[in-house]
Amino acid sequence: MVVLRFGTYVRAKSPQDAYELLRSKKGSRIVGGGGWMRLSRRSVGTVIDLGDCGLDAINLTHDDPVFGDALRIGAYVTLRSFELDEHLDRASGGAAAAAVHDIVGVQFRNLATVGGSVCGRFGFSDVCLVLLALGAHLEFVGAGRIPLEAFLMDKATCRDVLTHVIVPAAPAQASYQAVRRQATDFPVINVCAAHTCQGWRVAVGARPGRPRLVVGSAQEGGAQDASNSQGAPCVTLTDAPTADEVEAACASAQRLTYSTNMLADAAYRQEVAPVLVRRAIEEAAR
Amino acid sequence: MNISFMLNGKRTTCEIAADTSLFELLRKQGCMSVKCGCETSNCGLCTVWIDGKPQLSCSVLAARVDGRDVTTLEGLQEESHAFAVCMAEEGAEQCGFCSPGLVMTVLAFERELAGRVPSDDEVRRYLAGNLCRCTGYMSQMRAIRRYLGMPSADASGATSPHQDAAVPAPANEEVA
Repeated sequence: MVVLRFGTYVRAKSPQDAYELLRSKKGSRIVGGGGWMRLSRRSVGTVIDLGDCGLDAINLTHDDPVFGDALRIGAYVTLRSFELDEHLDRASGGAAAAAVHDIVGVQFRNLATVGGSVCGRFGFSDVCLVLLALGAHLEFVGAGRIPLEAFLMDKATCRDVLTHVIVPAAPAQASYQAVRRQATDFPVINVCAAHTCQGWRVAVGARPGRPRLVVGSAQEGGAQDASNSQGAPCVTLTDAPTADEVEAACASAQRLTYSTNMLADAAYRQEVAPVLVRRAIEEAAR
Repeated sequence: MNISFMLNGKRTTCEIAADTSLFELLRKQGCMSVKCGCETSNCGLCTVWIDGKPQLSCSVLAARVDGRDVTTLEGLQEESHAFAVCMAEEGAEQCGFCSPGLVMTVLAFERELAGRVPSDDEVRRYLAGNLCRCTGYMSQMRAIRRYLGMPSADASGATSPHQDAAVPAPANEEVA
């Protein structure tokens, strides 16, 4: 039973059409899979669906202006497709499948979308976490191309239309780690370490805040939280991380902001996150 | 708004409110096998196939199935018979409320396997989105192992080749 109530459902003819509708119609929202939106008690005027816009495929390209060889993941790619895609499996060192295969169930992953997960910017999002660790870029109709890291740091509401997520296509080594209190439940804390052709990135999420990079951040001064003036200093890892570098990454994770919610308290998360960072780097480096 | 789609092989056209869920629509169309067990997209009871893929009908907007192919258990009576017999023989259901969703998911899994015999872990992972309050899943696992020709598990968890994996399920008339 859908909780969400809305007046009008529109199938956009193109991403540009969706963008114009979104900007012009007050109270309108883009629907991804609808898995999260159905729980919303907010009243929405118009729901805009880009299901007819050809955004449900993962395509390999060789002339990406940033990555060269890249995978363009359409915003309407389901989490199940994300889980099973062979190109993405190689490009993520298996972390894409590992990150999503505990999300609720196959049926849920057959309807939830990458775009919905990314635009939702949920703190617990395993999808945002693994894409952040892969150094993903996003393509919006209005804003154009921006790094996922910047999008996650931005607190402003998004009134734009996401069309693609772009990641390097070259094979990577990566590891996804998480703690869940129950199988298929939200992660209590999650970490992904990835060594791509762009170098190392290590992300910590479900803090319960949004995923942040503790290694490989492009933000000045490291991954700063608005609520944490100290921030986590920018750490880099060499191709074969030394023990000191791993320690620095763990220390960086410890300095992130953690909070308490019904799943776990801040102290637990702060205790466990550095452990997962270490495990993720060690596994990815093997 | 008007939508038109294939429901269990039959062209179906209806007028719906824009925010109708597929779950609500299917039950209005008489597909009472589709149940709601949670209202948070977690239990799997409302599983139906859309273009052959299992999805949670509670979380799909009915408007989205316009032009698509929807299958419920009502449309799989023949295909589900053999597995239903396995479930009956293994006492797989108690209240039965989760069963239609389970059957839809097992049959979808079987199609994806394309003849391959899975491991217990693969079965559990694929069925992680189908919750059951009654059984603890042991009887369902026995039914699934029998149906998919997997080795049966004894009390210690050790598996052995299923004795009658090659024997087809008996005719329905024999089962009480």
